[in-house]
Amino acid sequence: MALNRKVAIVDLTSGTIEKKPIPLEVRKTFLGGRGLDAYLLYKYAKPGCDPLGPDNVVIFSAGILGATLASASARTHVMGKSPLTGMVGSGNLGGFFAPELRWAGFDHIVVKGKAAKPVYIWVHNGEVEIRDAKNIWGKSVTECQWAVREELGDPDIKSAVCGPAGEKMVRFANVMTGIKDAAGRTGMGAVMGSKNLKLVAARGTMDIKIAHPREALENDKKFIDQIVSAKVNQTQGELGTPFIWGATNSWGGLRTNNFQYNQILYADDVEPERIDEIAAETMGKYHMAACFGCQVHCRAKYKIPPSPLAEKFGVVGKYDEGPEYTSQGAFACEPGCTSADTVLIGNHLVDQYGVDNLEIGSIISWAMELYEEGILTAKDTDGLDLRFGNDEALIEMVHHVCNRDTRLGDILAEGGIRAAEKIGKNAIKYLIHVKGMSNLHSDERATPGLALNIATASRGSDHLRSRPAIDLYHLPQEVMRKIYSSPVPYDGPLSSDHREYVGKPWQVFWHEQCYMAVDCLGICKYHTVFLGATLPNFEDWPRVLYYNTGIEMTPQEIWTVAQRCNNIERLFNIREGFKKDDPYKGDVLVDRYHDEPARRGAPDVIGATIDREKFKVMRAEFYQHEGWDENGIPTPETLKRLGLENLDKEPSRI
Amino acid sequence: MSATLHVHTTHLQFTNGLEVVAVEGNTVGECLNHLIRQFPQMEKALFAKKDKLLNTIEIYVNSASAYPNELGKSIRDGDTIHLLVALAGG
Ligand code: SF4
Repeated sequence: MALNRKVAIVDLTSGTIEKKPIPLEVRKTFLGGRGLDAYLLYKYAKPGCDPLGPDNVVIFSAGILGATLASASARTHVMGKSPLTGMVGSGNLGGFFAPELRWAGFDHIVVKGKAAKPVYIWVHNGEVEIRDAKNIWGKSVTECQWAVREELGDPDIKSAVCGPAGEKMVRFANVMTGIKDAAGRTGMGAVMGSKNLKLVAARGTMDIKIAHPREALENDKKFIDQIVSAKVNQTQGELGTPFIWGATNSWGGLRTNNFQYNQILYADDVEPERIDEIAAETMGKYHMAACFGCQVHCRAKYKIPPSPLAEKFGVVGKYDEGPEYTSQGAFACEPGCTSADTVLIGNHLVDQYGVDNLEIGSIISWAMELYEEGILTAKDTDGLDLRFGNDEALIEMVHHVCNRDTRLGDILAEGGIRAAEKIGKNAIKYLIHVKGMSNLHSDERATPGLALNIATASRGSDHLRSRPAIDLYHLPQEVMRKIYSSPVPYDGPLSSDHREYVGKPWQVFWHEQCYMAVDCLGICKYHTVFLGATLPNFEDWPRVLYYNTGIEMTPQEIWTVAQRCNNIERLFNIREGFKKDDPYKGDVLVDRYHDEPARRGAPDVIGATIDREKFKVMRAEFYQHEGWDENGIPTPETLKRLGLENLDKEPSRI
Repeated sequence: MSATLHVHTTHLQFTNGLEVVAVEGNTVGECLNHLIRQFPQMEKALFAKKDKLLNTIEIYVNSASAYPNELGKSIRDGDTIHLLVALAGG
């Protein structure tokens, strides 16, 4: 059965392992993946715990559709309390780990406590073991995966690992699998490192019984047609996610030189077509790869071409995948660099260290602005000329942050807010973050809906929690009305104009439920309405769910599950110190969004700022849609409607 | 055939600020050519090369995606064309 996978509770302090079934009622309440993880986090992490202490947990999971016939049922979710933000920590990765975890008999592995020495967890055909990691500790992301395969004698093992950055507890270290699949942003790799946990290895041959296989296959054929026939996915299959970056830069929507500009000039070398060219030159014509069960294949394969920079850092010819558009942000526009070599090298290093590309690119770019402002000096940088556009200094700093081997590297590894406290001199003023997590490299000043999304997202500044990305497309009203009036009715205003404030709170609210549902199902967001208006959403998921798992749910019921799980994340953040207007933990934007007009780009971007008062009105309306009070706290009625009124007191349902 | 064409906000700079433009043609391609004759700067904003739209441009006709073969899609009197740009925010 697709539903008979278990939860394992692994206590690294005592060495005990409990295996628990997931009752059907729990399935219907949380589905799986991120939704059930949120519940487990709330119940198993000690309130107020040190994220890098033994009372935190790190949870690895597959979605309820993982490894079924549903397309791209590949996603792994990782959750804990974030050492970067002190709030919800969460990351989602593609690749092949989640299916293997399910074939090995488990849907969720909850790890608590701390091992006395480095260990790894071995999950195979219904069994879970804690094993000595002395042979794999200290190894890079890919080396440790090969080492554990060799140690256990099975080349098909898939692992979710922390790299050297996680071992050193860099607060934005990732959990990684494969070459480049990353559960990024909130430092779940550092939580692994704090527990002396190097990796979770999985291998299984336990069948997943599909409830209605014939119908599931038939339905999936239609689903795949719908997915691959969208122009956005055809383009992704050719150029990968970098295609978004190029157009957005021409328009003027990219954070540049930290956040001084919103467009990088003379950037032909980092345009998607150039990166595609390098991939073709180094890997041949067919150089796009895919995650488990995916027909979009959005990741390029490449080798780093020879260049003075690659030679200096000893990475000529190294193989990697991507780069995603986030690496174009981290290693091009944010630090003011314009070389494809730098993007490809930076991308490779973060993949090997296991560190978040967005966070490290943002934080080094922030340090560059501090350096140019004289807040950091050559003494602080050990002589490194940390000016914008210095590719070599950028790459050198990546090493220093991941190794924590210089004073500045060690400070930046602590994340923006802690680093700003250590540096002092009003360094915080230049930090571009929400809830302590750096913004994506995008500039949301011309897009109030996207600004509301990053301000209110549960894990900090985040484009994958509630971003109404299609808001920038200028969709026909009829199409917008169709999307946003279902599965719950909405007849309020909707505007196709991305500069507008009206109607955006509903769109952000809608996308928040949509992305949570996707993360509970365990499928890829590129197979949903995230980037394409014609792609599947709530109306399409009940059939996939029913044919594959036998669970019957309406679109409205899936929406309610998503809302329930989003509210658990909200309650977790409140428990850990959320206050609406708190500059470090609130639903707010940094001053630059409000006070500094965009300086470059198209006429609809130049001069844009987010109006403070209108932002507050949007936020208040967003809270109303959520069923939260004026402080952003879920009301008792909302909690009762979602069955969460006893969340604190009830014994864990698992 | 006459159709009504809705311009994306970011292209208003090329259409003298006109949000809606009347275009004529039997296909989307012909309508776009008519648009470009009126506003030559739109060519660069829409086309990667002759007969190939940019990857980031999508065409909707009567609120439905015209992809694939957008340029060959036939147009009837009174149809509505929307030009979409996949910016997506970086
Ligand atoms: S679209 Fe890309 S990220 Fe998503 S499943 Fe496919 S290959 Fe993986």
